[in-house]
Amino acid sequence: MSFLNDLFTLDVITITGEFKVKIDDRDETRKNKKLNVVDFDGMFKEIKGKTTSKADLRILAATRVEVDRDTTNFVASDLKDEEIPLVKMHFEAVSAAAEGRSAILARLRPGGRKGDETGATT
Amino acid sequence: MNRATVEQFKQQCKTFDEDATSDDALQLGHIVEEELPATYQVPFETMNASPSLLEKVHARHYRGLWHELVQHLTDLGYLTEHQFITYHKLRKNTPDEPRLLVPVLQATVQYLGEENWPVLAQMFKGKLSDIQLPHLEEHLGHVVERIARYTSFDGSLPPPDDYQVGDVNCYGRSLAFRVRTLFTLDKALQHIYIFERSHLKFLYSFQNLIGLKFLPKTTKPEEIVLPEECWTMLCNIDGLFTRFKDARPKDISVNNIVLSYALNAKENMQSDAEESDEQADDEKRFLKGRERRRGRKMTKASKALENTGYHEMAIRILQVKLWQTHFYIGAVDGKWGDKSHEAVEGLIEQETEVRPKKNNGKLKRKDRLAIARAFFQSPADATGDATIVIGFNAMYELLQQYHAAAHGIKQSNVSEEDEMVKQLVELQKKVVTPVENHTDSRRDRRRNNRQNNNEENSKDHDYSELDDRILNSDDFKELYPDLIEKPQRRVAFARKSFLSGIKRGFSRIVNWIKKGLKKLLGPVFGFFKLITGKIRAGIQQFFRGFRYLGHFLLGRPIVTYAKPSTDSDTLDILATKFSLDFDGINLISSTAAPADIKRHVNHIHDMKDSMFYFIDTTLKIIKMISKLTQPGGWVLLGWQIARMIAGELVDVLTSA
Repeated sequence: MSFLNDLFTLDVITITGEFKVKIDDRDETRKNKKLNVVDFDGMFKEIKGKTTSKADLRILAATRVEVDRDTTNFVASDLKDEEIPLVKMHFEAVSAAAEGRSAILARLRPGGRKGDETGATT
Repeated sequence: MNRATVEQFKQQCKTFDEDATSDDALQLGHIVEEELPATYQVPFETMNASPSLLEKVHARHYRGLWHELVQHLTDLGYLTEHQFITYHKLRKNTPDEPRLLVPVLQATVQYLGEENWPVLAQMFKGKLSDIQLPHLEEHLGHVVERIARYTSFDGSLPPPDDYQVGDVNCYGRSLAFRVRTLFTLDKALQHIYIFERSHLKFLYSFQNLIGLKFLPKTTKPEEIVLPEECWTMLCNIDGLFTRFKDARPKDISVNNIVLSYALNAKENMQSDAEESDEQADDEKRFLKGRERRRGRKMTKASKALENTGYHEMAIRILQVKLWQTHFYIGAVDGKWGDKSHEAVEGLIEQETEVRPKKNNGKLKRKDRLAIARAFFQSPADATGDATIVIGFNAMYELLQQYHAAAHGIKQSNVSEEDEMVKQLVELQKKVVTPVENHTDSRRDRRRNNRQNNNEENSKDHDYSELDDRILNSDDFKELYPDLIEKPQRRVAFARKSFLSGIKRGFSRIVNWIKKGLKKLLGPVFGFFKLITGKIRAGIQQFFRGFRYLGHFLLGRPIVTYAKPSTDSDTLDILATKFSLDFDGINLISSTAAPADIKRHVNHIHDMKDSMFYFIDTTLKIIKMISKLTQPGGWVLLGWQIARMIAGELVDVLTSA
């Protein structure tokens, strides 16, 4: 299980910018399924596919959870009121990632189905 | 290509099970998400939270499940008859306007609130009242499988542990449904959906009619607990049949429990002009001798039971059995009309066809007698009226060859499910092999056999025709009753125990797949519904599960589109992606509205909440598929997935 060897730290980052997709390009048929996949890997170099951006990317929040569950949170200092739900969303994602990591580890471990399903605390 | 895809899928499951690496996961993901859906039209959905409640493009795959759910909810009184009719009037619009399903959602939430179902807490987190249509759709197959027990007559509903007469729960509703359906003639009960203490008098009448004493002699209804025997009689139609015929009036023999009715034979013959001459000849020969004398006796005997409660209950029992075996698509109401007559005609035609013939192409005498005991038509009189006489016992025994209720409620279905796989393999062989011609000489047959053997290797694994016919057929549209005009009519939704019907109707099923048939009621209809219903429910569960697995294991993004506005041709995107080591990136449009952010949060939240349930399910299935040895197409594999989900897997989850 090679990919499980990398599970030392957990990083979650939330970025805002103006990301839009043309209505016609939405995934309405299976044939066109690939069109709307957001190209996360290439987004910082160039915008691919049907996703467009007007740059001004901004890191709103970031979290690192160490293997011993020490946790560092970063939140932008100039938060606007309308961005508070985004921070909440960020921590939902952190929680989901931590739980997902624990769950998959427990389930793929030979003979293991139920394991540590608790998430990291901030 | 088809075979290769399925085989590749199974091989990939095996590899993944033995040594899970990121490459194995990605390859498995490619097959499940790209190749299987494209090749087999199976419903795989991407994890996009669309502004609409349900995804239009996939609605087709679930419509059968929605129809079935609506029927059960109506029978149990969670939906009114008016809502039932409205649903059927508008059902074609639901893919475009899912809000039409909101009454169904509300009724389902009410049903789930009355359920005592351990798996429920794993499927729906939080308050039941918070369940939305997409959540319900995710678990639709499971919910339908569960609720079907309360309206089935196949013995699949176990007696309740702690039901008290008057309780407002699924059992109270199921009891009211059974009383309405099976035996009460009281119109006041037609719209009663909860069985109350004041209705106990009907159960006393029922036990008297079938000669049992399962209810205590007490004047205090609050003390009455319905014993297991009572539930068995009400839930298992075969058990009731056995008891019912034994409880007949003393001076009437089993073979003299008969139903008779007039039929205008001339009209009937004219409507089938091509066969009329041959039929008339057959009839003359057929009516000679013992069969004719038996028919006369039956006609005479029919007078004895006319207009009795026993007679009407016999009709209802027969209607339930004809309905259960897919020959009947009318209402179970004790009235013997055209639909009931067509149903028995269909059965007799099928029985005549399936029984072995003598060299002259005629039935053997014992088979002719078996049929004559069940169905006798007197010669038409001068006005063209004939009398039809149905032998209750003989007719029911014919029907039991198609569907026999489970002998014991807790009996395992594993052997039956294994047998079903054999039938599918056999069916595939028949489909790719030329139809046998009985008039061929021995030499021709030997030549054909040689040819078939030579072709077997190349065709044995080509399931494309079978898959295509079963998964994409529109042949059955006309068989569904007009529920807007006749809301009491019902279609049986086969959940299990129809294997014997499939075996008995095997040649018809083969003929339907190979060249199409006009008469589809009975085994063909039952086979189609069993396969498609079960597979769709099973596959839905698997693919949903794989989707969850994919988002955590394969790093697929979770995407939410903002609600479209009229003055813009673009939509804001909110996306979250977890990589293989669970590092996460949220990419949120800065112009997204608070409502869209909330939806995306809910989207992540829902996925997290459902994750354990689905991932457990999916990993278990992957392990099971990796151990399969039988080659085949998607229908065969889908059946195996369906049985895993409906059977062993549920046990695993409930015992966890």
